Amino acid sequence: MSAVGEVSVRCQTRTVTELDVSDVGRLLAAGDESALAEAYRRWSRLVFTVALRSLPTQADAEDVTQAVYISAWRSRHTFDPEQGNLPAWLLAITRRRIADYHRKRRDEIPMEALPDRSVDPVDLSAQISVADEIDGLGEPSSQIIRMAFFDDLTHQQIADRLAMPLGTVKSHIRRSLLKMRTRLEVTHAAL
Amino acid sequence: MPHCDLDDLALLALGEPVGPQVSGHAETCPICAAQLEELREVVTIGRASGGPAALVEPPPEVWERIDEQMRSEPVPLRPRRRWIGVAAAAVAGVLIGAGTVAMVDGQDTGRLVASAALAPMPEGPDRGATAEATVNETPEGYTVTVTAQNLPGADGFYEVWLLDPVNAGLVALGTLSPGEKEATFPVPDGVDLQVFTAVDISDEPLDGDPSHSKLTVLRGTLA
Repeated sequence: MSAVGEVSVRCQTRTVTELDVSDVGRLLAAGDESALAEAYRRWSRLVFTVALRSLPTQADAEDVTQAVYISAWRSRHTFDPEQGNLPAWLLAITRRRIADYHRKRRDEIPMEALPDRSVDPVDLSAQISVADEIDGLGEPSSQIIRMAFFDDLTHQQIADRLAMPLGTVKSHIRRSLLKMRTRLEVTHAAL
Repeated sequence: MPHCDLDDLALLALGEPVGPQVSGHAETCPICAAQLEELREVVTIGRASGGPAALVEPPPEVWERIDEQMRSEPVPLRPRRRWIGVAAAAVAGVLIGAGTVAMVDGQDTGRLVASAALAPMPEGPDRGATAEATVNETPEGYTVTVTAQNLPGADGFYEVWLLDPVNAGLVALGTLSPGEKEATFPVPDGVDLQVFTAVDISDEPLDGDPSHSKLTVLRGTLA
């Protein structure tokens, strides 16, 4: 990347930081290069993590991640910002690029060299999407959900630890679960 | 009892006790039970996900390679913007003679920019059919016209695609109706014909899956 390119990407990224998901999708569909950079900043971990768990090596996952964003750029006109959700669309492309990889390598790689395939790719995409959603919840919602999910704390214990009213913790939990439910719906719809 | 409060259903989904009256209703009321079921699925998937800690950042070279690849791509052969097309159409009658612009029934079919002979795939079915695809530049953008000979009835229906052979990218152009010998499809705005260089006709089962069936009947590279 040239120095000029780097600077311009950074500046453009800053200007679109406040955009919501649908704005990034709309800009990408309209052919705005900075929207691709923003989509990478926000969702490359989602794409890369799914690729890592589905492919034998990190290098393969890097190649697939690159191919996903190049595909997204080339087929940006096929993304309908009114109908679709950009991270879900990126995941659908990720699954196709992973499938291409497996098709190409089917005869070259012994089965035992591939990662555990017992996880259904749809389940994997759903899980990583929810992980991404939790990450994007913002504080204190993200922390509250992490405490409830992974530390197995009750809402009472969470309220005590964060010195927050019980009702506030409850409504953060409710809102966050509903956001995750919506995210799962759009992910499933796109796959 | 009224329907459960969503706050309570969320806690129930997490496995917290909420009192016998609420949990009793959630089990017996189909509306609340369905909502609880959905929230439980969210919790199950969320817990299995490992949370944000499970997300792995790709190394910085990945974006550098994407950026480099985007910049090194050939200048795309973009469909003309509509307003230019309209302006061009307005002067076409004055400036352009018959030569390069074909007219059929008074309709401008555009200027031929590429064509392909479509043939069966080496490993695919051979139904004894052949076809020709032409790409025309019209004032409204590019179009693909497919003319087929001896194409028998499809198992499902025939779909015409533009194919990016390097990345196995596909753009669906439209379907060929049973018995249809010729059809013209607009190339969607922004599809780069330097990248999507092949035309593919597939037999698509009626299964509601919009992706390519992998059953290519005819394919050819545009030149």
